[in-house]
Amino acid sequence: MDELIEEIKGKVITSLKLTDIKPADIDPDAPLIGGGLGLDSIDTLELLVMMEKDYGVTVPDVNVGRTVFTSVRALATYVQEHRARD
Amino acid sequence: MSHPPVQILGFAALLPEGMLTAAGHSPWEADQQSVADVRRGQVLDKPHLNFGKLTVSDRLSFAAACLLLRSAPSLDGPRTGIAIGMPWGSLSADIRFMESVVGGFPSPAIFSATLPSSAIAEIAIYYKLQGPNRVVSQPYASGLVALEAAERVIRSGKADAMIAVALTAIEPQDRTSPLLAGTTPRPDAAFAFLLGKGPGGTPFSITMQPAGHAENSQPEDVYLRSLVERLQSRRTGAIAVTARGWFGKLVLGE
Repeated sequence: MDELIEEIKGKVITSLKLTDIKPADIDPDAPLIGGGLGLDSIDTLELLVMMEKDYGVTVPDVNVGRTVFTSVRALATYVQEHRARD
Repeated sequence: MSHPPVQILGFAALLPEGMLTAAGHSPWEADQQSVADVRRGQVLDKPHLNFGKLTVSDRLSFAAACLLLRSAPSLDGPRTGIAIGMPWGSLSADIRFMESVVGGFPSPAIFSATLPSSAIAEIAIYYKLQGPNRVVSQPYASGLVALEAAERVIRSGKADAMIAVALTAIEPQDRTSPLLAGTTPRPDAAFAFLLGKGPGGTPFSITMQPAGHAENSQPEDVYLRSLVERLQSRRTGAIAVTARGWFGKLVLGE
């Protein structure tokens, strides 16, 4: 899981082009949206595309999405659970 | 009816040889290959997480405005507007977005940049500017026409200050696009001017008129460079413009 969290931190940075951020700057338990990274709704959509493209994982509805995007750890957990099934 | 005099209160340029403002010239760092490699820290003192997300066109427009406003007086947000001239509009973002569609994963972030006015939004949000805005998207003289539009807005009384940005850059990989066939790519550059009513600026006027075929026309960046060089050396006088499809005149000083 730690490895996946670090991998996803890297993908958050590259897919959202956060050039001022390093993986170590991202707290895996901090709010992903509306937190210190300054991510907005467009970034959320971009992360959804990244999850499907890189992991084959989709988010079926907004209620699931609210949980998935709580933090990087929550996102990684969701990817791990659903990547195993897909 | 007399019109309020318009002055150029500041200028900035991102050029192949480095960054230029009234304070002087700063060369690029050794690992920066082109204007497109401009870094957030070179134009902004505070972190700005959106900087890296911007397309080349938007990033250069935003960076030129930031470099300009670094040493500018504080602006009255509701009375300050923005005009941008970009020869290719959002063409690069359009191409990138279609590439993402063809790749099977359309990019929402790139889609949001498929508007020529997206750079205006970035500048306006960052500096809290709420005045009028203008986008000029045409292959020739877009920046000069945007400069004229900015001057007109001030003369009309609709704003007290305008930031005019002229962009002559395009994403490097698009220079060979068949969509640009028949055009002559110019060196990447971005110019920004702060127009206002003063005090302390250089009186300025500009007129641009569409014309038919013009002999001895020059690319727009030649005139923009000339304007910047005159501002830097505090020279006044007129610059006659003959750009493809456009005649014009820039006058510095009374």
